[in-house]
Amino acid sequence: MKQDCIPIERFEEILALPPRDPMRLHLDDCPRCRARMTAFRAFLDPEPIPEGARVDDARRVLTAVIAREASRSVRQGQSKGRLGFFDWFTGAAWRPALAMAVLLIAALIGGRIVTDDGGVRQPVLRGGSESSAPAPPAASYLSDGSLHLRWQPMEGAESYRVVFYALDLAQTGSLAIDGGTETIVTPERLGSLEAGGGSGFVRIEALRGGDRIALSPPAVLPPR
Amino acid sequence: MKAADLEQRTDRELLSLAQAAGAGAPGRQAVSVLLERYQDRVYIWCYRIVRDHERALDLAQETLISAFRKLDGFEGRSGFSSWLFVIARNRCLSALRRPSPWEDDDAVLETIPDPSPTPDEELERRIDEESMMELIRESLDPMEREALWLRCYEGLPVDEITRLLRIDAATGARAILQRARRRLRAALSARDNRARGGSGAES
Repeated sequence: MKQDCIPIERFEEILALPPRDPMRLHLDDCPRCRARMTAFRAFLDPEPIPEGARVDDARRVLTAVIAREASRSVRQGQSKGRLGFFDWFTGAAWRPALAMAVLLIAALIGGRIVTDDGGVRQPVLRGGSESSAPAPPAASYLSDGSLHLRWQPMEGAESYRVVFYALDLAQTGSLAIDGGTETIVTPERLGSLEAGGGSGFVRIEALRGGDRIALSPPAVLPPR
Repeated sequence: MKAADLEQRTDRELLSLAQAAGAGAPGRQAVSVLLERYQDRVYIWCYRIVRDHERALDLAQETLISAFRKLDGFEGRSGFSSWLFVIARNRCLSALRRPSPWEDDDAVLETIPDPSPTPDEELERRIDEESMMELIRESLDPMEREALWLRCYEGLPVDEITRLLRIDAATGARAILQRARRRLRAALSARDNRARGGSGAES
């Protein structure tokens, strides 16, 4: 029974076959293929738009995602320009919080966190060690207020998690990224991830089998 | 080539252009036009499944990035739209806890999760997709079959199934699903009884 089933990849061509074609007849008889074809037709013909869907917002973000992906493919093989920490540093207005952030970053990049009691704690990585030191993620805002994050692949990573911190280093939220080394976070989502602070840090965790295998240094979230 | 010219091209022509041009600017432009052509559909499909704008946007974003990166390996033996649908569908299904063929949807919503497997979950573990297909064929009418499969294996919400299958009744697909599940349980029970009777006769 299963070998007669039609791979979904062939559904587009099945639609063009005459009704009496054996594959079309199989569709009428097989609950699995029939349901899948119904789903595929719904994918092709999305009308009516479901209530609550924000197609215009989505289009704007997804167009930007595609454009970024196209430009990323050009950059591969060339020197990887990252939004440098100092690019932002020189372009932004000084704020008291910035000075504090810089000090904290310096401490974290050094891999040492000074604890309340004056001791020094080394970051602990489970499930193996990094083969090379990861770089901090590059962060920039798009014109619609979405945050574009990009980072270098980390060896052995099956997926990533983007972790947001407030200026006091309290974790405010995280995002799971199933493969890929960049993401665009919409303003709505960003509001909850940054816990309303609007400034802080972001780090990338590399995951394998659910364990963290590497952790990037933090990047300061640029001013909006 | 101007974007407006590219927009007139078929999917297959855009794919040929992309593959001929490789990583150069015309190739990237062709891929971008092709993916932008489907971005609304991908988002709406994801939205239909997860019913949340932000989650749908995340899934659509992952789908499009994945498609962009895998396009080099796309050999053109299948249609682009169905290839892209497979990526979107797999993303959505892995983001969902799929409903059980045995439990009513209302029961799923109302039941407090218990770490120990329920009898239904035990049953489900024993019955793979192939056995389920056989059972569905034996015991359900075509409308019930399709509704149950769409719900449990394609992850579609009940109101979407009502719409897609053009079900007019006030209770929509929910009543059909409940009836299908009752029949399925009865058929399974009858099959188990037959199997027990058969093994008893042999021993």
